Amino acid sequence: MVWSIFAMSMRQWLNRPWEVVLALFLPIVFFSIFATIFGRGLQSDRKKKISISVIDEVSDHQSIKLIEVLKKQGELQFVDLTESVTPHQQAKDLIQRGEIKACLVIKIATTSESTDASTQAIPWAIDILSDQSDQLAAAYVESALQRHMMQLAWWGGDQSNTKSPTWTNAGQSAKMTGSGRVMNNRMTTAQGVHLAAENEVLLAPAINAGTATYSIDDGVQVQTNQADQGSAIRKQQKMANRLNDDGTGAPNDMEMVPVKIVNLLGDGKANPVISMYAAGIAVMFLLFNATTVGGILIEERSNQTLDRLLSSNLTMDQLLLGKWFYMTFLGVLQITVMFVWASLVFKVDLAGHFDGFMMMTIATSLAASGFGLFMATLCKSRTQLTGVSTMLVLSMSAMGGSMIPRYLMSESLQKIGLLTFNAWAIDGYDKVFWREMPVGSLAPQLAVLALSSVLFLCIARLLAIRWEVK
Amino acid sequence: MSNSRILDDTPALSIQDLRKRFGKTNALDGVVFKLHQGERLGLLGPNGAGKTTLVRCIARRIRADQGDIVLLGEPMAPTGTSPSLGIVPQELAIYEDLSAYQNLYFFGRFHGLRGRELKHRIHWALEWTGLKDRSSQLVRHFSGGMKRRINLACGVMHSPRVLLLDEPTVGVDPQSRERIYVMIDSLSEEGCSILLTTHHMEEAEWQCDRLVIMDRGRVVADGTIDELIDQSVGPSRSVRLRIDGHSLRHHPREFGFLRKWEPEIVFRSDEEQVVELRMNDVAQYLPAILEQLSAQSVIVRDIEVQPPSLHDVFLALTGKHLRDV
Repeated sequence: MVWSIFAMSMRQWLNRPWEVVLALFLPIVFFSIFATIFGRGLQSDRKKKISISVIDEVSDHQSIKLIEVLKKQGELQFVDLTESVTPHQQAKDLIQRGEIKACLVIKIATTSESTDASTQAIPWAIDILSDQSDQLAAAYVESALQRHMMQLAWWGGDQSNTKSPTWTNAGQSAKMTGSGRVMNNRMTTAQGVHLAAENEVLLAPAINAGTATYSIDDGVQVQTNQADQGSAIRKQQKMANRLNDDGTGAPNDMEMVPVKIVNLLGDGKANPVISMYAAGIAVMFLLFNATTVGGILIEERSNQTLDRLLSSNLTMDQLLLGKWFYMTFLGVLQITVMFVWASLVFKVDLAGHFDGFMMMTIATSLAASGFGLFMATLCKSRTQLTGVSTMLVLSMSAMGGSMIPRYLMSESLQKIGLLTFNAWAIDGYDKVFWREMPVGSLAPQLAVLALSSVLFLCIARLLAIRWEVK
Repeated sequence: MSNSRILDDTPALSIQDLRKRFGKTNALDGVVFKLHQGERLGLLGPNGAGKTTLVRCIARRIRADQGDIVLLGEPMAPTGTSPSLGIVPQELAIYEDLSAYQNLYFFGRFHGLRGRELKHRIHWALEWTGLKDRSSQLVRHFSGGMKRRINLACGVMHSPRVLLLDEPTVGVDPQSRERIYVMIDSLSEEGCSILLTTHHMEEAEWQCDRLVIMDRGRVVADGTIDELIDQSVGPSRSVRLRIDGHSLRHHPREFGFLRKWEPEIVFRSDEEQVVELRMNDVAQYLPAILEQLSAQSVIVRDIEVQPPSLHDVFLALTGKHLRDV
């Protein structure tokens, strides 16, 4: 009997091909998506995509040299600021629009910024103006900055120097050759975020990591301890001085430059991740809801209600439009409830951004409703609809940023993500709630969502012809 | 229906040489018949005979390859519907998440009813179906018979002059079936012409004025039940003899005097056998048969004489082999 039940269940399962596909194929699809995002995405393309600008208020030979070195390394993409009169404002605008991830401001340090005036040879401070909605970018820029400043400190940026110091610690592994060109950086997201939050002083990651070992090929080795930051800094300086004394000619006055990450867009706001996830989750559930409601159309067809409706004065156009508006209304309601909750519990400023929110919500709901109708008219049965839509919606949500922020993905994956309207919707909500851009700036997102909506609706209408008259 | 209609000679529905092919299958192969005004016409046929295709063609859900459908003297357009036509599908084509009132309201609106007229028709439909007390209850909580009644009511909200009824009593108990036929009777009294498809032979025989039998996409018989009997099985009667099983030592065919009546054993056990004979003049032949059986010590326990039924006509015209489509 047990075997009979097993055999019968297996037979039933095999007779439902969509369930077989869902059970076997969907995990592979998802594994591939996430493996692509976290495997190749973070390692290969990440360096290429972080675009920054530089404002050099100091403009001495050291700062110019630092900028040159940073540009030569090719890890960061530099965007020139054209408006020389108000470069800070321009940089802020670019960051706000998401066109650059950060801006380095090299400036004369104030007394409060200088950690140890007596030992600081260069009176600089560096601010990294950034957008914390991409929590990795600022940390990455800071990390790159640290490495190159160390390099300058040790070799003066002289790439012909063949000394090969190796810097390792528990949380971070970086290998620098004498040419300074090869850098293998392995840093997890969490570590990057940790660094962004914690680092206040250049070279601090070594200290934050607890114990760091600096081993130089001439045998000099310095151990640092987290509990003794000042001591660590002094030891680093000692190490640099020693290098200098060894006749390398490296300037040792750069390692104490204070670096501060300035969050341009985050003042007084809830965590950007909250509004981003509210949008991401809302869009994903909007799609699920739309396909579920679309399934009613398939039920109406199978129980002949559709025949009855179409033999009344109702036309297919009216039927689809009616359902489209209903699904849109439901979607708007669903997202609104979600954001009201987010505003009440997580302090997302809904009231202050209501116009942009409503525009994005209506456009997103229209698009999701169109998608739901498209799926309903495409599929022959409710089971097929469930299978196909689950696979599509989850894939779109993964690629479009509903599950993982798109800034964590490689450039190519981010571009592929733009084929989903999840990405456009989330970008739109990001503009509204995080970047606080005017509603006019939503035009690309609104246009794409509206076009998707019309496109899906038109395809659904064409597919529904087969239900009208055979 | 609120008002009786004045009927004339124009057929309510005229099907003229209707043809439809699906691939290599001739679903409709030159179907011809008429439904007269105020008439109740039964459409019968085995599975795959083409009934559903025909009904869907009339409802404009399938486009015929050839032929015409004339509704109340007006040829129907290939697409689009007519307000004179009502459709009640076999499936429960209603919304179970709506109440009875809401179903009637929305189907009324889809048929163009508004305001007072709509309200009036809803009240009429609730009275007609006997569901006035349950009007606010969700249909999902209704019994099968109640759902059938609402299903029927939603199809006649716009007072159609011609109604296509597809298996209106399938899956309901005798009481609900009786109620549904009372409802259909009232529609007929108002002058509504009804095309009823069914597999219930008795229902068709009792409830329809005239019958059309289809097989393999064609009309194989068309007429009243008496006309169909004359056209197919004739006036012969079915005579069933219940015989004591122990007294019958041979197959009835082995009795020479019975061969003429093509005896067929329809039931057999050690205790009893039921032998069916078909004959035209029962009064003439039955006493002689009984006499001869008695002479051979065969004990006849009971005798049942049945006039030809629609069931006999149907099997005679369409055969007894299965139609698995």
